[in-house]
Amino acid sequence: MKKTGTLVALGLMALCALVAVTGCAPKPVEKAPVAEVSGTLVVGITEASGNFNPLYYSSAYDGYVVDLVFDGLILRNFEGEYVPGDAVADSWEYSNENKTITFKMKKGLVFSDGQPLTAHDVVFTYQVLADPSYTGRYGSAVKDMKGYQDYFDGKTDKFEGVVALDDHTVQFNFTEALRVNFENCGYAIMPKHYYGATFSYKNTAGIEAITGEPVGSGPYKVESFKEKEFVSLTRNDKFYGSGYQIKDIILKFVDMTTDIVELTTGNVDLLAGMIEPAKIAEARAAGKMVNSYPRSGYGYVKTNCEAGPTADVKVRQALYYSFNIPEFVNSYFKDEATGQVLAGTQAHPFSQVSWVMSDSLVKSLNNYDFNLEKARQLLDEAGWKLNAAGKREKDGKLMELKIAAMPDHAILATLIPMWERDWGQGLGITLNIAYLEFNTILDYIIYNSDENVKEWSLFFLATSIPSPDPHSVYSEFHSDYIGSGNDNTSRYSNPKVDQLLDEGKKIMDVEKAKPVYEQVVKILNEEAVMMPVYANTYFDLYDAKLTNFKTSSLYGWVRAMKDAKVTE
Amino acid sequence: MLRYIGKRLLHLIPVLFVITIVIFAIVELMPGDPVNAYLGVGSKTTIEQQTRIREQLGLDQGPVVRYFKWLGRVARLDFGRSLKYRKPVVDVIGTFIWNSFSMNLVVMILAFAISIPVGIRSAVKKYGRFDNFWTVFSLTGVSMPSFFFALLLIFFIAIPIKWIPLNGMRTTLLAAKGYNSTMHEVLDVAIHMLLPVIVLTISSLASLTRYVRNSVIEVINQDYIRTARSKGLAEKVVIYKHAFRNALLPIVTLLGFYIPGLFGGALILETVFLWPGIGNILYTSILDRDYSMVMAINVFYAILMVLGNLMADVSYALVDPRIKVK
Repeated sequence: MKKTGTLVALGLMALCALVAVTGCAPKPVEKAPVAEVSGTLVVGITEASGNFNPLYYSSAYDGYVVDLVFDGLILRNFEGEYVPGDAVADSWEYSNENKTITFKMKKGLVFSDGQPLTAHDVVFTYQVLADPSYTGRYGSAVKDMKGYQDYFDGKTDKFEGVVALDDHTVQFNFTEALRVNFENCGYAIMPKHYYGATFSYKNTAGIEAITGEPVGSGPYKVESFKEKEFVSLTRNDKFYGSGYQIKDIILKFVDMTTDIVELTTGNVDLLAGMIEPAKIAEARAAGKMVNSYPRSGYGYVKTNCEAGPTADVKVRQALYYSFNIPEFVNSYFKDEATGQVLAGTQAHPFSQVSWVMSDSLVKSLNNYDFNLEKARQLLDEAGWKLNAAGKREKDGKLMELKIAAMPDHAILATLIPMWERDWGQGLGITLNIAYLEFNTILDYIIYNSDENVKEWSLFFLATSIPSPDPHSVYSEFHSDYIGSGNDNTSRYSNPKVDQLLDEGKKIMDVEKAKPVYEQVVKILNEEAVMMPVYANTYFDLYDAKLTNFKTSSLYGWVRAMKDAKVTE
Repeated sequence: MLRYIGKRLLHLIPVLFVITIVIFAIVELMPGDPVNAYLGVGSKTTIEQQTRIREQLGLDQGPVVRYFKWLGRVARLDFGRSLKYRKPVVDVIGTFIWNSFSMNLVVMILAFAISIPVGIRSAVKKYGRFDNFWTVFSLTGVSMPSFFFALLLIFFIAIPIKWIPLNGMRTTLLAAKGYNSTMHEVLDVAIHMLLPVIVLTISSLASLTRYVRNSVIEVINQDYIRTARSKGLAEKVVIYKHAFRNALLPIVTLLGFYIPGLFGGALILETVFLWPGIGNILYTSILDRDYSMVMAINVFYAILMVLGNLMADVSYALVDPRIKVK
């Protein structure tokens, strides 16, 4: 199991060292020479709506543009750590029992329109996020900030959460000292003079209206955009940092059926985050370069822990024992050319690159190795006995699993016959498969989960986990988050897990937090709350003209542009 | 005539009204709502924030209230804003409509230019080799799903032949860095249009040639054609002067249907060929539950449809003096 190391920024001890290294006062920015910037890189993407407003965009592809155009106070480096000076903040300091974080910003920074970037722009960005009229999807970043509730409820027009102490010092105040507060300080900084010309409290309409022509302080700026065709970006010559030596980056729309042809014929130079073995083999055969790294995320089956037969732990364990996951992974993710399997399995709901996971912890978990006999025994113990027809029943009721599946889904098309074989014929469970469109499944399990709780027993989805911090699964397993619109989709409730999750989030020191989360990992594994199906590997496929291109699980292709070059 | 058109236009208002109710109800019945689809999984937005967003967008009100509010706005030609694009719906769909239109126009011209002579010849030499070829051709064209045909063309034409683009509407690098001239851009778009136009033309040829053929055959069997022939007129004159003009009536009707359809997009084909058209946008908007977009595009389609009907009727009346309009 790979470990990306620990977050640097946590704890006062570490902080003192940092302040000593960087010095307390922010250094003036040295303009990096941009003379050697050259070349064009065409990146294939499958969607973008042209909404490049950092506070309102929703597609991951629009997010690429936002990440290239905007800059935040902090940025994760290749190792997944936050290092002062990598982004707008030169140093930071915790105070007020770790409830306050004060950032010293670089001086002399400008946005791509030449206007200076100051602490007031940071404050503006967060004011919009906290505004009662804000209708974007990033409001969770401010929910733990001091004064948010009053500001949101209209009791005051002063937001205490983010305050500018002077032009280059900005202070974040939180209601509670949480380790993950830090991650919420890195939001894309938006120029107030450009986005906020008409902004006042409870009036964010003007900000929302600026979707195209983004102005940020990041390494690139948008040059042209044709809807559903391409986004063309060019190097922002006012960007303060070094690196980013590729002059033009073009995001071109591709279709999933022909994307690999576009790569091999040279229409695009880079396809990021690919998973299909056949496509990877084709790219290799055409002499393309390949980067691979474990995906911070996985495909999983979640069972209904509140209603139906799966509410019983023994039933969940029985299903897990009779779900031949390695068989699936070894067939579905096998690269026929090399015989390699491009995915692994895992028996816990954390990211494979999360700092809580270690080899010894993984070894201590129950892998639920395929064992039909054990599964039968568990079902018997749970009271689900075989009837005369060979079907499981209890108190005269048949054991029925309602599976919410997506149609035309390659993975489910492989999984369902396996379930029919092992759960259906092997164990005598009656399977009832409903094919539902994506948003309809979400309606069952999230949007209207309270009304639909009896409608499903299990579903399959995939997830990506953007942070190595185990707190990212908090809302998925904490009982406060059961209910319509909330994240605890398996409706799992365990006071012990709640208590551990609440304890863990308050521990600032990663090393001290580990043992707490290790307990959570073990309980969730033991109670078979979730059956991760595969933890796959991501592949970035690219042309050899792109050099020094290094990507990792939490350092995607956009970040890797910092050091990459294009040699024509 | 003008009175007739005016009357017909007035009749359209209740029809459109009913159509909007039906569309609104269907959109409303889709599971999920725009806010859910926009937030997606993993935004970690609190329930309170979700509720507030719904209030801001007026989605907290019941469907009846929302329908009439929507209707009120539409009466003022305001189709609302797209939640995903964060722009007025009209601004979003504007460019896409023209992209669809330009492709459809080429297809329509080609389809009529080919199917009229083919249809006539098939009718004249009924069950001949030519007719049989086109019968088989039409049958194949109608039966083959367009997306499948499109993929065949991509794999057997666009991939081996380098200068034929796989998909899209422009060569990305050229478009991003600027064309030399407008002519350059037109040529580039034209070449990108090639494959989708082939697919769309063939699929419309299939039905169109049959239509022309049948209407010509029907006319040929009329008594006045026998009269013309017995007068000793040349076969060419009989067919092109006497028969064709009468056979034109149903074809004109068809044209009436086609013209408004030019603004509609071919949903599947545009998706396969990544043509930035209106059909493509409708599809993604449905998946995104972008209510204002779905409503606006569907109402637009409905208007096209009823106008097409009207145009067909009017043109029919214009070319056929037997039809008296009152």
